[in-house]
Formats: sequence, structure tokens, C-alpha cells
Amino acid sequence: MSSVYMRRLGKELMDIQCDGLPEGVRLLSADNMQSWFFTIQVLGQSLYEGEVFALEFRFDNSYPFSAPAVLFVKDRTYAPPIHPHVYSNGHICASILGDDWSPSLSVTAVCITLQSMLASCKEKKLPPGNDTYVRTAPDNPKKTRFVYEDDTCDPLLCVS
Amino acid sequence: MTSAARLSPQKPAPTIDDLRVRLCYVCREEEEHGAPQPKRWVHPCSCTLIAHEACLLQWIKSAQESRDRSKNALKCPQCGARYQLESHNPPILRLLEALNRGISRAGTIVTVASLGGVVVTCAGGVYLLLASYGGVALKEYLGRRYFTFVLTDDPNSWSWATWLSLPLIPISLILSRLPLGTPSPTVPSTMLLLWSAVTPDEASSYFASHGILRYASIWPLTPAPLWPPSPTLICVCYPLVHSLYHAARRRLTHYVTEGRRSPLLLPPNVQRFLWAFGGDNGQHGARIDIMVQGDVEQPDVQQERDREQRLDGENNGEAAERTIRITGASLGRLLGGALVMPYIASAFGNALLGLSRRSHILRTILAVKESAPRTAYQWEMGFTPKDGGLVGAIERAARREGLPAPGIGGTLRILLRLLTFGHRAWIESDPVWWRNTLGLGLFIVLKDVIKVVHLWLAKQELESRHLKNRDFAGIDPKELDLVHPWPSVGSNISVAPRS
Repeated sequence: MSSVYMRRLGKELMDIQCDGLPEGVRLLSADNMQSWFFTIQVLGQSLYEGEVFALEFRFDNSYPFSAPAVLFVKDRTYAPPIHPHVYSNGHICASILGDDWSPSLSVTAVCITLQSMLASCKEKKLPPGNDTYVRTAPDNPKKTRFVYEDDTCDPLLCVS
Repeated sequence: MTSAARLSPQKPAPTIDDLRVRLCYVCREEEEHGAPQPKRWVHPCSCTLIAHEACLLQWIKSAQESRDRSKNALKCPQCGARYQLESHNPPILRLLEALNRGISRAGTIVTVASLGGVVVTCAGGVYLLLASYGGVALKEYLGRRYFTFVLTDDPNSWSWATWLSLPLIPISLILSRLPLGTPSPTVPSTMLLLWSAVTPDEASSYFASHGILRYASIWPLTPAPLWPPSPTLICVCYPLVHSLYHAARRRLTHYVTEGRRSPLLLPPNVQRFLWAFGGDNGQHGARIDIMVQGDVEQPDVQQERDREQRLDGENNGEAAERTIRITGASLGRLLGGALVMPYIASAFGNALLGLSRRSHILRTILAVKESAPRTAYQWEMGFTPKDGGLVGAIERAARREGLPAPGIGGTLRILLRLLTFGHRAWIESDPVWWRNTLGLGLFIVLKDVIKVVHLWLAKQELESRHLKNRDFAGIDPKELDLVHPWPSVGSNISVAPRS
């Protein structure tokens, strides 16, 4: 129902503007109801100290009944983090963005989860099979069916 | 009884109606206590999350669409308690769903079996398979007697044209089941019915031409058989009947699922295929149908759908209806369904014939000819034309019959008549093909009626869904924003979620 989608996103944006975002997350732009941009950095000691990343949220009118498409921005200013769950095209393998999504989650909650995903990283390395995936990946990461395992990612490209 | 309830006998635990402000965890909307037009709210779990019932039902519906997500559909994302879903689920719906699942499973088996068959047999095997299927299907559809007359049971005497056209029958049947936007069943119906005019066997082409001549010379004197309609007429009318029927069916389905009339002009029939052999989501066929026709979008097709929505305004349900998910089971259903069509036609045709013994009207409709026409079979079999093709055959037959040669104009006229009404043997034979065609139509209508009833029942079930409400037992009332102050039940109470 697109009306739920608009109302809910409007509410989330209002909450962000009133209550602010968690530390380390900043709103870059939310000019429309299709895509929002944030910058995200890991606080405290971590492998990503001093690095700033940009996140793109893409919404469609199935939100919040299905997860937004979330990816790290790759352009002149920003590069995706090197992380075993982040492909070099910015696609993220995280179960909350797929099968474990629930409408109780929100943009802020996703940001916090991704922040802690980066913070808990032990070794900066690309996911296995990164090159193959990046070569064949669809533009929209939601079209990739990831298999979520503890340490590895396994994208099943079944829908194109 | 939970421990919490036992410890505070003076006042039961607060319920959702006692909250000052309610916040839906799905749409994030708030509602003050005593709002003028309150929506239905639920607190279906053991924690503080509450939601509009409609929002939560929509989430459950959309999560159940995908097999991987359905495990979370009825689970509270915060406390993990299972929602209790109540709905009116009559035995007939459960039976239909079970049947549907059974057919899907059979479809999977058909897919696996046919994939195995394709791998094992070489191309020649496939060809032989198709050709023999085509022969058997043709025999079913036209009736054994006519088939034997035209083709004979001995494949050795079949001509190259027969060998070429027979394998095309199963192929065209399968193609006809693919909703490619055109009323493609015209192709198989043409393929089946053209046998009225074309007898590709060299041997029978002689008889046919022989027949044509008699037929042509008799024709102006005898009235045209108006019933059953000629195959050519059926092939011409078929697309019209087909599209009218489909439009009617779509409108009825739309009316049943959406509860209102559909616009007269539906968007053009664009089809997309999603290959999803890995994940077969067809857990509830009809329910999923309704879901995709409703508001909830399937995430996979979201982007294309969005584009399409922009193109044709609204009506995302229609767009969803036109997206076809191809899974192992659905492919099997498609193939099996296509190939079994001649048999269904023949079974229903036979059933109609049986019924016609009791009904004179039905007998007239079916145009049953109990006694086989002698003339059609009494042509001198055993001659084979040497050369000259059809025209040559006609001329030679004319000479033999002692009739004047028809000339080019006459031959053309004969050919035209041949194409329009079929040759004499066709006209004089018992029209097995006609009752099979009617039988197939009857089957399709029956099948669609069952489908619509299934959809309707599934929709009733969806609409009757309710989530079981629970009170806030086990939660300290101080944590809740309540309208009236609540006696605190103390902090020594262990959280005891109700089952």
C-alpha cells in the first residue's frame, strides 16, 4: 500500500530530524521518497578508524513490508568498505536486508546494524567470489538472493 | 493462568485498550486514547510491540509469499512470540489447497521426469517422441476411425509431410499454453483441424482428391451442412471466442478478488517470466494469487513493476497478475497440462457422447452420426498417384470418373471448398473432433469455475483473518503509558508469556 509507505517514510524522516541520528551517522540527503543518502563511520577503535562511507537507501512502495535496498556508495568521493560482507560494488550481504527484515526495523536501525557490522570486523578482506559476483550482479542488490552464513556470503543469482 | 495474573487478583493485566498512545510498529502511526475513529489494534505477542491489525496482517501476508521469509511471518520481531492467527478456513478450501499442492508436486515430478527424458534421449529420440505423441494426440482428437482412414495405423506409409507436421502438434500445444499475448491456441486448433482438408499421405491424397471430385460435382446440388460448423470457420472464429472468454474470465476473477468491477479496458497483456527453479514459492497457489493481485508487492519484481506502474498509472495488481513465475512445478504443470489436452478433450467428448444417448438436443448439438458413412470408405483404396500433384490427381480422377476436367478455375474452386468445408470423408464421418472440441471447451470452463471458487474461498479466508489479542501480563504497568494508573504488580514476577 503506497500510502503506508509514504506515511511511514515521512514519519521516519521527521523522527530523524527531531531526534537526530545515532553517533557516527549523518544524513546527506533525503530529497525524495525513493532514495536517501547517509554517511556512516565507525566510532572508537576499529579497522575503519577515520574512514567515512556513504550509504544509499532505496525505497519502493513495498516498504516497510519488504526491506529497503541498501548499498554502500561507490563514486569519486566515497568507496565501499573492504569487509567480508560487502562486495566491492557496494552490495551488502546482511540478513536483515533480506529474509530477516521486519517492519519493526527502520532506517536508523539498519544504520546501527551496519555500523556494528563494520565495528566488529576482524580482518579487512573482500567476500569470497567478489569478482564473479560484481561482474554479474544486478543493479538492485535485492535481486540477489544471498545465503546468510556466519562468516561467508554466498550470493545466488537467481532472479534477474 | 499465569503467575502474573495469580499475583494480582484485584485487577487483571492492562490490555491494549488501556494505553494512552498507541504506536503501530509497522506503519509508525500513533493514535491517542479515545480517538474519534479508532482502527483495530492488536497486541499479539508478549512484549510491548503493538500494531494496527490491518498493517500486521499485511506484513504476515507479504512475508508468507516467500518461503525464506515465511518463517518470520508469524513471529514477533522483538520477543519472538508466535502470533495466533485465526481465520475461517473451511474444509473445502483446505481440500482445494491440498489438491493444488498435489498437482504442483505432480508438476515437479513431470518436470524432473521430462528433464531426465530430454537428457537421456538424443535429438532423434525427442523427435520420435514428439511425432508419436502428435500421432496419438491426433488419433484421440479426430477419432480412431477417421485417423485410420487418413493416416492408417502403419507409420511406414506416412509421408514426409506427416512426419514433419506430427511433431509440431505437441510443440504448438505447449506454445499455446504460454501466455504470449496472442490467442495462440489457434495454432494447435488449426493444426488439428486442418486435417479436414489436408491429407498428407500420398496414398490418401489420392483418395482425398478423388473424394474432392465427387464432392465437388455433387456439391451444388446438396445443401451445405450447417452443423457442425466447419473446421475453417472454427479456426477463424476461435481467436474471437478465445479473447471474449478470457476477457470475461479476467473480469470475473477481478470481481471475485477485488470485490469490484474491473475497468472495461485492461492494460495490454505483457508477460514476463521469472525463472525461479531454486525457490518454489507455490505454497498456497490461490492465496499467493490474491496476494499479488492485492496491494503487497513482491520484492523481486518491484523495479519492473514500478516502471510499469508509471506507464499504466495504477493497478499494480494487474501488473502482478501478468508476471509469471516459472518454477519446477509450474513448468511441469504447463507441459503436462498442454500434452494431456487431447486426452482430456477425448474423455470429455466421450462423456458428452454418453450423455447424448439420453438427450436428443445434445445429440443434435453434437451432430452424432452413429452409422459410419459407407461412401467415405468405399473409395478404391490401393491406387497410388504417380505424379502431377493434387491438380494432376484431380484431373486424372475426373478422367477416370468420366467427368469433364475441371480446369484451373474449377480446381481452384474445389480447393477453396476443400479448405472451407473439409473433404467429403470429413463431412460424412462421425464428427468426433466436434464433440471433442466441445468437450475441451467444457473442461476449460469447469476448470476455470473451480479456479474462481478456489480464489474466492481463499480470499474469504484472508479477509476473515484475525490476530489473537493478549493482555500485557508479565510487563510492569509502569513501563506502559496507560490512561488510568495501574497498581504495580511488583518486580518479583517472572515474565511468563502465555501460550
